[in-house]
Amino acid sequence: MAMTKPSASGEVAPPSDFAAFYRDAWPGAVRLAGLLTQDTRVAEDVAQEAFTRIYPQWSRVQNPSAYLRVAIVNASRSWASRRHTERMKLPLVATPMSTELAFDVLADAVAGLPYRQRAVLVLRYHAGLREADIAEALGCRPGTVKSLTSRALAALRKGIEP
Amino acid sequence: MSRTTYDDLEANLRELFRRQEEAMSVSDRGWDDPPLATVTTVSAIEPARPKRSAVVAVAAATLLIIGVAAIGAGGGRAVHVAGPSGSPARVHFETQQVTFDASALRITANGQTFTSGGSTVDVHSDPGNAYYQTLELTWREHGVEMRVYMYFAADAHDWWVTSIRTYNGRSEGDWIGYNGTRFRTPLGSAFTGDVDLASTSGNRGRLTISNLRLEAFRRPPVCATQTGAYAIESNEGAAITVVPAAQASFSDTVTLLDRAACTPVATPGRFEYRFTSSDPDVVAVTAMPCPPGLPADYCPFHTYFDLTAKTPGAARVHVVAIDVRTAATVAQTDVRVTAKR
Repeated sequence: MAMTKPSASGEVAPPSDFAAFYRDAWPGAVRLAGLLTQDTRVAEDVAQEAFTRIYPQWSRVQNPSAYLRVAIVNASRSWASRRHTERMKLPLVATPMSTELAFDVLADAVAGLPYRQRAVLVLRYHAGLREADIAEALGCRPGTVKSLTSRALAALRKGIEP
Repeated sequence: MSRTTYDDLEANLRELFRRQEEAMSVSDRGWDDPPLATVTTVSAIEPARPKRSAVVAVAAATLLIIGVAAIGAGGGRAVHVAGPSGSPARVHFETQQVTFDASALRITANGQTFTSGGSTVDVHSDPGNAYYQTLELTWREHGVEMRVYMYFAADAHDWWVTSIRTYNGRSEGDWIGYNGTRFRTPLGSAFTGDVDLASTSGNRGRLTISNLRLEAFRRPPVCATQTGAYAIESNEGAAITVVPAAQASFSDTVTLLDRAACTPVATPGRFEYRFTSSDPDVVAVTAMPCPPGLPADYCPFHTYFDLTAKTPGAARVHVVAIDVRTAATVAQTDVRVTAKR
């Protein structure tokens, strides 16, 4: 599947509000995809795929941000499931903080989590979503979000402490 | 971060994600800009747990399951426990997967005793799959949050507990672990007995449960409530609430059970299903093909159907199982679906 907008043949111009939504939401979409996939090389492609999913539905979408978020989560999961042979980790902004190494260890641990466990952490601690919204984005119940979060935090703690 | 409390960890996660986000260079882009290079194929969404939402390509159309909160099989009940805080109290917690009954539940942590007495307990299960489930109890007592989480496993014959965790009784709510495999019990039966466990990880704690009657991987009640040789189980429960947010769609699966053994039929390929909604203007129902990416032995025993909320209201989805060799109806059931705004 080409990760482009729909074919130009027979395509009507996108509604202006979609173009505006795309422009405004694009940076955040790429960053969310990057954190979920832990791979800056595919973040833009995953984000673009998510917008491509929304485009044909645009006139019926009531909550574009929620729709986009779910599409990114799902597209990132598809990407993660196909990437079995390498372990990626996002880079950190370099700072003179003495805890740099500790953050690097934490980044390793986050990158090593199963996708759904990483996703609940990103949606909670990066996107700041409520439990119900995370459940909606992941297509699961709030109780599952609770248990995924618990397991993820426990795994991180185990992974970063000597 | 040499010693990390959960508060520290959460703060560090926020900081980590912020710094990773800052490190990502994102160029401005418009919808009309030249297409991005194709790097990957994202064709279908794999449900992380087979019975959960899935997206499949159907007749070249993509159905995107999105924006739906469903209240179904996993529990999510609030149970008030009688009695004063800190005093022994009879408890009964139940989800579709697990029952927990005891004459007293005590967690001793941080110098206090937690019994759930006088509290309202949030009761959840992760419905998991045939090999994994949880029971998750959360309440507030002595001004702090207390949790008891039990993790269950099963094989073809037995179920057992793989781990128990409680909170530590402190405001920061760290975990205390009571690790170890215990309570191995035949499927369909309950473990009964007294429990007295000392913590194995985290802060010191003690968990005692008197006259515990615990059963996980409960047999579906449909085996008792339906008649005939077979029963249909809706794996999201007999009552589903669909709350559309954006595009409303929710996947459920049904499993045909041999009622005598209350286990899935040995030859699921012999049967097919028909789904009809009592009010398609409220909830439309569509039979779904098996989503890609599932274990090979999953879909034969779990037939997918998709619910789409049209307008707020209630409807019944009638499910009929048919023996394809004889065209005879072998089982039928209704799933109550409420579409909320």
